Amino acid sequence: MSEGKLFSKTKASELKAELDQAFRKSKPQPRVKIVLKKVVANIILNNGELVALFPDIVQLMKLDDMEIRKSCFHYIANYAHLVNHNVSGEALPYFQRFVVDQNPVLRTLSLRTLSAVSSKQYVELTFNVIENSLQDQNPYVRKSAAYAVSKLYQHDPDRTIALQLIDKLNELLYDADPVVVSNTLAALSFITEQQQGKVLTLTIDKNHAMTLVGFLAKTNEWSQIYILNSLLSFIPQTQTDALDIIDRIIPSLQHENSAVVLDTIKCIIYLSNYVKAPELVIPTLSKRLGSSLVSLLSKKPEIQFLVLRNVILLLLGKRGLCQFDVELFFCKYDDPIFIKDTKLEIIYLLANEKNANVVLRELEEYATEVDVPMARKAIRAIGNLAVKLPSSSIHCVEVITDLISNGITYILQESAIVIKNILRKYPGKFNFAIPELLNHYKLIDEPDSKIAVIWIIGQYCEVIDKCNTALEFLISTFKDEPTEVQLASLTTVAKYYLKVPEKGEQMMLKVLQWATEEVDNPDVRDRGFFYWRLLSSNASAATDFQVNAKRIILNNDPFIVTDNDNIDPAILEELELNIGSLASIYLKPVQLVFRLTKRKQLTKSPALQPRTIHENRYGNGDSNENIDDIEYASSPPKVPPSRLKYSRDDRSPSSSSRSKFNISQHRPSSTSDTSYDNESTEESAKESFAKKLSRKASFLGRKK
Amino acid sequence: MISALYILHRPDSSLPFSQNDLLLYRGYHNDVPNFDIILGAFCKTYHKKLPEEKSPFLLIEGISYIYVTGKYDIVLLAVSRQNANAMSTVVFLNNIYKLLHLYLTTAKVPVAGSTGQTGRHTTTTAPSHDKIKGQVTHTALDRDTISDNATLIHELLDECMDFGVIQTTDYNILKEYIKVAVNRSVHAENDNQYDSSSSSDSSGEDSSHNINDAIKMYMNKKGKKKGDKKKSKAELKNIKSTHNQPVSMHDIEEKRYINSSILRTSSSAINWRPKGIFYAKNEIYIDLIENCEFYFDLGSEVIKRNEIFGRCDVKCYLSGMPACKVEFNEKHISGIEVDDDETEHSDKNKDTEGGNILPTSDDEDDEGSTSTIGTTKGKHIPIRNIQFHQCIDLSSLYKENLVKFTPPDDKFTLLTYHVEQQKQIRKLPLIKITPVYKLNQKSKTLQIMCTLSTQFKKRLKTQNLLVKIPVDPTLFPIDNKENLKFKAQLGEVTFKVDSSQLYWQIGEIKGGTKDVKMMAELQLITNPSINTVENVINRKVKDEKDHSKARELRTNLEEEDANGGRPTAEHDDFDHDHEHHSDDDNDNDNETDRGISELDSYYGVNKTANRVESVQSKFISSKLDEPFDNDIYVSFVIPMLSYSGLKLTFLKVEEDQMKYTSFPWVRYSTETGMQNSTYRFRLGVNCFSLC
Repeated sequence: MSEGKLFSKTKASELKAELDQAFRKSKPQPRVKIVLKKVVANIILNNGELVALFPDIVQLMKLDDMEIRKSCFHYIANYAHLVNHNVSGEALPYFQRFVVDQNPVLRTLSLRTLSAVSSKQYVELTFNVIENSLQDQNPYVRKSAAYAVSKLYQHDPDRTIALQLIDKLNELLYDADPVVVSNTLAALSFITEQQQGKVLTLTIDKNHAMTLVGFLAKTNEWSQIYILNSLLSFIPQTQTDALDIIDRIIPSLQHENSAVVLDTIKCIIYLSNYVKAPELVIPTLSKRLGSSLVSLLSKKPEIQFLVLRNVILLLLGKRGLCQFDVELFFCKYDDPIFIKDTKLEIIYLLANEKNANVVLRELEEYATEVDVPMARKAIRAIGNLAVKLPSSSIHCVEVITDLISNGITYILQESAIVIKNILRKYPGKFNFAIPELLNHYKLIDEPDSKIAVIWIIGQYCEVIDKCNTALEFLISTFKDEPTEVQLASLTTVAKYYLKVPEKGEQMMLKVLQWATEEVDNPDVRDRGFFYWRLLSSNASAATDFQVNAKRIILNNDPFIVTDNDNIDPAILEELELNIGSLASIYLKPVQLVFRLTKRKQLTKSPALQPRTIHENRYGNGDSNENIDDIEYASSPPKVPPSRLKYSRDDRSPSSSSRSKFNISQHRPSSTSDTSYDNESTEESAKESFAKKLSRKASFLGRKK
Repeated sequence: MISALYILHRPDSSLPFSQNDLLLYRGYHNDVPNFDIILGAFCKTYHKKLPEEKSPFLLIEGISYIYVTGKYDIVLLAVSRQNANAMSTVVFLNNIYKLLHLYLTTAKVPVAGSTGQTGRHTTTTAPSHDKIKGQVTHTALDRDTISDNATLIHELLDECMDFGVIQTTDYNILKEYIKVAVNRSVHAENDNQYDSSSSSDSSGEDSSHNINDAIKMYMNKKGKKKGDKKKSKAELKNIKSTHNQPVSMHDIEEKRYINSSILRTSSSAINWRPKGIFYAKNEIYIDLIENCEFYFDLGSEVIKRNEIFGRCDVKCYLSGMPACKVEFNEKHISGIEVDDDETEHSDKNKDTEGGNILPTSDDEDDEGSTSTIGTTKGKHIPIRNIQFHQCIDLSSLYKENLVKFTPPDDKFTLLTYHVEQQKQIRKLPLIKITPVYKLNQKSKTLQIMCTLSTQFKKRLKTQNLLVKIPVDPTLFPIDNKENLKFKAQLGEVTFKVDSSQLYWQIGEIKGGTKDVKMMAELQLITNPSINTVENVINRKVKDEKDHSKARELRTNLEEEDANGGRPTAEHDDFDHDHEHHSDDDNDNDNETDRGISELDSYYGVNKTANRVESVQSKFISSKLDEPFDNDIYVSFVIPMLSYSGLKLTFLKVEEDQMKYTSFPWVRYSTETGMQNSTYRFRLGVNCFSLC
């Protein structure tokens, strides 16, 4: 008989009739079962009408048959809160009997059902029976009782505490049976993670922690997870405390269940906060953590994805603690897109001078792949690497010019943006890339890449052969372009005029005319008028050609540096305590996503090590970062946010050209910048850190 | 904490308005809205996402959606409002999916992957099973099966998760507890029996499991009827052949709806093994199966990929609570090196008394004519990604390098591992194939000559060796009316018209065999111009993006140039460290031809690379329709060989109470061409010649 037939909404009256009919037989059980199957099917179908059956179903519990009772329990758990007290109360006598039944399964199931119903009477009864159940001789019942307590806490926290049920639960932690202990831990962790009412925290001392660790080998995979999680409540007082535990849980890194592995890693990362220079104390640790993470990459895509996100987190925060070989993160052709995406980010994070060659070869391969978004991201990554690793920049640029020579459109668009960044970072070093790019100027059609090319022409028009034709072509569509492109064109035309007056004059006049007369956008108009005024007022001066205008318009851009702003250590710290959780996927501060979650942080203890600065950086080799630092410091007051930007909207040469309006490069700090620093309260600072973090986490941008 | 779990049927998930059908749901917390709201939001957001954002984790208005996609459009979805442990949720969903398979279907568990990810960790299926798989239609875990068994699944979910907290997902325990009869169509049931009986023919020990399974299913189905007497004769015969009929809990406690074993097992230390198992004869079978992923580029004579996906399958028919100890010849089986003194220390301590010390066949390597399979004694096998079954005591693994475990009953995978041999270029391929495509323009015929050599120990031999040689129909239009001529030293040759491949079926061949030849002559309809052949060849060169190849080609040419323009065969042929130069005569004319054509191109255009590119661009514009898979595929099984060299060195079974003697069986097998592994040769320029 196919159960599929049972799956139809049935009227309560029909079911009742069927039940009555069943009871006319001498052995009603088989028929009753069929009816109950229909009932269960209707629960799944969310048939509200079944409420009417409540009294009948309750009567069925008389029958001494486990299957029937199970279905009845299921029904009651679903409908008891919908009927009024008198009706739902009918079931209580049964439950009262069941919880002291000699069959442990029945005791368990009835307790489970009782605690699942939120009606007052049921809660009342549960409170009455729970104490006995917590001391039941059968571990299975004790386990369920533990959960029942956490359910009760949900229904009525104050009373749960008043009745000292939590304390009793704590006692259960010392139970002889590991399974009971681990499930009690799970129940307790649910209670402690609630924020409503009194905030409870679980603390575990060393001895108990060691006992718990000892249980690891004796429990099933899921219980191990609860035990490992509870170890986060253990606060090591000395370094040896932490090391002892780490030593004991390291074997779990090779567990079959990836959740156990990841939780072990979380635990080790947590404990390593209490060890001074953990990578020196346990030299194999980083290798082990790395290899166990990598071994998870052979699992299903969902798991891989999760692991990769956590690898990013570890690379941002605890780089010293895990050792990865970048080649292991190279994409396989059949990886789902979301995995390729994440892998690309990891490859970028892992790239350094030593592996630059391998990485670049791999990225070049991606760049010629059929998958366009992937290819674009790969090119972006190459460009970012060039900025990040000065010693490999020449190689990067070679790769990019190679790619450009193929003349494939989307590669060109992306390369243009990337080359612009490289030229800004290393002015004058890679001029040979410009003609390569400009060979294909006709194919460049996306606003961002257009802006980049236009900016490059303006900046390097003296070294470009046919820049007149190229610029002519690019501005020919001026009127139809988006505002940013128009602004960029304006600046470039002005620059071109100043550098090559004889050729640029006509073009400039044409563009200024368009800008001032035919464009609606006030910004563009104003900019047009501004240039016009500036250039015409200067022209009258008899001295050198356009001295003042040159001083204003033609100046060097601020240095470009990699995105090395620090992530708030507190946020990183919290995320590290949440490895493997949903927050680790979103890579956002936990409170932003899950408002009710309690904040987790490292508890102070004598052994707690301060976070070192270098850990907050995910940059590359140290030398390289120092260069960045110097650059950062060398432009005295404060350089406006001119980091290498990943998403394009607000980050384009137009922002750099904006800075050219300032009289001198050294006074560019915009008001918005400083005010941002002053105004930001702690809360908003956190938010902005969050933004930085999430941007960093997806540094390549997820657009297009 | 998972708030609710849904099983959906979602056909055409790529379409914007595809309908989600809810097959089943189970709520655990009341903090999420009604399921239609949940599903609506899920669908809507999913379609808005860009392809790279369609990760298995979605966050919609504070509710996290975690989903796993299975076959037949089945989606398992869990929702949570809290910061749940994502990893355990995903693993849980995958386990549930596997569990449903074990309960509801007779098919082996496919990998639940959202976009066809090839996983390497399917369940333990013996090779003989795979062969049959093609012919039998199994009950699949699809929409109908799930809705037919809603009550069962409901109970399962109830037991697997309590209060949003995962309890257990172990089939061996659950099956003792939840014994609701599975609803299968009659048709499927028949298939099941066919499956078991046919597989028993092929290999004795594999079948024993299948039959046991079949019997259990059968009895499950028959419920309380006491099915023993009703067994068909065929089945009885099969049981005799196994010599070993387990007396399991099933038979003893059949009548009780619930036995209390779950209470005992789930709360006892070893919860994957129920107590009270008894077998008349205690046996343990250990299979070390290695799947090779191999890719050889004939053009550059370079091994592009040589990986092993190994697994250790155990079939355990042991009574009581045995403790098994297994040792491998790998010094650090855990994959992590511990300090050396530590391991030495443990070596001394190990009590080998009473154990079965298994002979390692390292010493036999020398007697083989080719000492190609590296002797592994003391050498480090680059094992990676080793994964252990949960029954293995991980701490002794680290400290003593000993795999200690109390096995679950019946079949399970003890460990899986991955060996990448890329860096070991010294290791030669097990089977090497050298094809030559000779195009005779006058007679419009294509001659394919293929030489095969094996390079493993002489005592071993392959099973089911099959070579598939492609004949690109776009290149060589074959005239099917004409007779195709085949000749082979060993085996049979057939031509598959549908896939346009030559099948060279050899079956058994010994190790160390050199130069087994096969020849085929195919009549062509039209003569392909030299140009097209060249194009295709060049496309290959470009496809690889293999700079080293281009460079090599150039240096070769330069050498030839230095020789006065008279290239000799030795130059290109097997210039790597292969120990033998096969079929020189065979290749000679081909080689000269090729040399000349290459020289022409060399003198014609200054740089080879330029020419390649120009041809390449020409080719792109001219012809880039559906590409034909031009790889030679080989599939085979080599029993008693572990390619990586991993061997069991020590095996011991101890049972404290019963103190029985047990019979361990160890088997090695290296296989490829099945499941997810492929053994391929990519054709290179030097495989084609004109005359």
